[in-house]
Amino acid sequence: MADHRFLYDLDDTRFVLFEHLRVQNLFELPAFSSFEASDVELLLNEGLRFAREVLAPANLPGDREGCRYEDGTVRVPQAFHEAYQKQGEAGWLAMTSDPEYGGQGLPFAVGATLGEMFVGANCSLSMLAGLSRAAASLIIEHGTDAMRQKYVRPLIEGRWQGTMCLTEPHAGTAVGDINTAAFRRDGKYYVRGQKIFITGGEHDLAENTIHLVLARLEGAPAGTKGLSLFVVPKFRVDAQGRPGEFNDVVCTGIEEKLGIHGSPTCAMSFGENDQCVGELIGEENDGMRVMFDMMNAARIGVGLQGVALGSWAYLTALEYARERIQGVETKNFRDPNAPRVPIVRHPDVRRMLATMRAYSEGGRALLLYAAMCSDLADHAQDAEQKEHAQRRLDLLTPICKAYCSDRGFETASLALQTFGGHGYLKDYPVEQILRDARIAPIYEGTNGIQAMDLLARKVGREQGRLFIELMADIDACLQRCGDRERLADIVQRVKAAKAQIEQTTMSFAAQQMSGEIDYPLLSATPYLRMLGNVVVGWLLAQQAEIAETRLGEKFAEKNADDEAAQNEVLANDAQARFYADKICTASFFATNILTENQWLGAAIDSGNRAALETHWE
Amino acid sequence: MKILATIKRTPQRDTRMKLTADGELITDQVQYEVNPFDELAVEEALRIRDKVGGEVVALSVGSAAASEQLQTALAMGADRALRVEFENGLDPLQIATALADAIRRESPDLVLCGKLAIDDENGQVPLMVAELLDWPHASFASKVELDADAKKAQVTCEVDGGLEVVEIELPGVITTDLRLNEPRYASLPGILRAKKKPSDVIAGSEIADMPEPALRVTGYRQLPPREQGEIVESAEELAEKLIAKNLV
Repeated sequence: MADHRFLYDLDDTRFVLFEHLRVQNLFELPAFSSFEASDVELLLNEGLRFAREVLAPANLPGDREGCRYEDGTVRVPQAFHEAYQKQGEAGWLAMTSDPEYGGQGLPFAVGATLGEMFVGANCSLSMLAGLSRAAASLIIEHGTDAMRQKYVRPLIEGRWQGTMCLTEPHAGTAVGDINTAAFRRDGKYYVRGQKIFITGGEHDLAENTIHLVLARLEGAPAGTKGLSLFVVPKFRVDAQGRPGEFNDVVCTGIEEKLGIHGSPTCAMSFGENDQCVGELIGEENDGMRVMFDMMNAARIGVGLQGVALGSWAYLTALEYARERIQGVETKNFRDPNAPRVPIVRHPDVRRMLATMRAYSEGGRALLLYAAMCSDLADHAQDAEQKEHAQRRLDLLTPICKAYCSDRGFETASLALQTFGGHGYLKDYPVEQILRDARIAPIYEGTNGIQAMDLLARKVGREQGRLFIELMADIDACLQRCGDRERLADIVQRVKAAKAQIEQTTMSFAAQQMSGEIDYPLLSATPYLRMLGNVVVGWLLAQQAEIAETRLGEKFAEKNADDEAAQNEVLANDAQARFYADKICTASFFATNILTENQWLGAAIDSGNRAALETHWE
Repeated sequence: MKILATIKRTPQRDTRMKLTADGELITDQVQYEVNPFDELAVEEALRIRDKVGGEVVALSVGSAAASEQLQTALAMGADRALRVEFENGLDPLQIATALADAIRRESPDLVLCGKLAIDDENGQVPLMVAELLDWPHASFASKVELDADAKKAQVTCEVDGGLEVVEIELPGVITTDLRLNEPRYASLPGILRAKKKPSDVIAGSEIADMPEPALRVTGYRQLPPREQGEIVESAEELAEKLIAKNLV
């Protein structure tokens, strides 16, 4: 068996946190005033070590062994038990949760960084804890005091599993068609119905499962406006806070899947004997709105899955490309006796590496930027700053989910390609990464749904205010970088892409005025990709701006005025190479990826309706 | 009881060290950690403290970078950190002298050290420390038991072909072997508490009787690449080949 070591890009993470986004500014807010930058350094080191030594070794056995269903119970892979227990004991499950309930209260931007490590090292296992955390947050935000006391602490500590129960056999993306029923009896609510695709619905790591179930109360209207949300424990919680009486919740089976084999995907039956008590959370018929809080957090989490797996795939491909000897230097191609070289010397391999790196670093910047917006939206002192951050987060959430999950899978696929035939084998980790990454564009609202959400609810909101504010921020960055010669080409290309997406967005607005619906929806997915490219192009341009400044300082320190002297600095200073490569990444992205927008935009602007007019049915 | 555990900053255990053309180590992209044997020492110190009470001090000799590893020891649960400031490159007797000086200042009841560091394997350092202090020592411990008043320690030592149980009077120096314990991972709350714990630095110039260096590293060489193996048909053939190569 070849090398399955987990790899993580600590250098880039440090750069994004401390130099680009300046996460240390968050520590000036009262909510985070007990933290310092040096804490984050130590957390990154220790967290990565934990990911490498505890979570990652359980990842491959988890994939091979998978989950087993026996008579209503589900066994997760054997190796998960010890890893999960250690993770709970060491407090890593409760990183960002409210300190009042046993959490550590870290900013989400820091939690997301550690989350990237944990999800990369063991995607299946980490998704379980992520759901429990998200369920706890929902109960803190919308539950009653009694619910908080009962459920939150065990969820945060990982002793109990939280789930999101939306999907039914006939109602996945069309969530409004849910017909799990809720009825009132003796002053209580009871739930009855079937749910499928429930991650963590039942398993032997948790002593109780707390389901958040969307159901329709008797007499409620059809569609999403008739859905209410219920907290439904597998075991009702007794007066001592322990799992007590069985609550008529049964797992009827688990799915055989392409990937994430260690994560149990359950079919659940609620109230077969009409004994399934649910507690209403939020108001009656307001369940969708309440559930959206959890869904938004989960969507960022799925984007993170894309970045985490994509980045690991990229790093393992890079390591392989440096070591795998094959073929000769291009200039020697006529000489059969020329020395064989590592494949990293071949231009086509370098193209793949540059693409993967741009997706990984761009995705990480986007995700951590969104996480920082989330921290500011929750905790900024200034009301205007708070609202602005919330609007930005709202706009970015569907982009984080869809763009990062798509790019993560594309990165895994390119990484596999870099390995050639060996990548297709189980000998290397890439094939598992590819399978595990493929779910991300599907669950938590398919990427198609994200695109529609972006266009209709985010870009379309408040006469385009969210979009206009973003464009203003991009302008400010372009103006700052405008007179830097080394960044001129990047600036030029981001500027062009910005002008183009403004035009495309305007044309949607015009169509909306005219009542046209089908065509915008036909174009929503390419539009999301365009806007994702623009946002990432902008973030990478910001990074290039910082890197160019730092690199200039490094050259100045050594009086390196000419190319030879600068090359000397680069040869001897890894940090200088990091900055130089940052500029390369931004440049590669602006030239090779962002330019996709030219044809994406042209296609959207064409008004071509062929896909709508084809006789599919 | 005051227990002191020594810490060395060493390259991460799976690091593949690379060399420049002139035979110098390339260290600028190396990640560091607490020497794994020293981790065992910290863990054992914490367990003894948690049983009999007292204090655990983590001690390192090195540059400011070593603070990172001291922080890890604090995050694991040590109470205090102490660093003797020196640029790297001291020889074993110099390191032992610096450690012994710091230990005299602290006068702990017990000093726990890793049996060696995974980078340059200077396993003689803890023994030199014991000699300089004129304290007893026990090496390669797989079990440490203190008597009721913590004046003596029974130490099970891993020796060639078996175990040897020795008793030493305290204060003394014990070096740790792999089977002694399983070090804990720093917990998240532990990490966040680490910076609030006291950390002191002793200037290198304050160390008394520092000897001149007696040993220096002149260069490094990469191991030669492994030669192609060969599959033999029978035991006889294997024997013949070994004889031909003068290996038996």
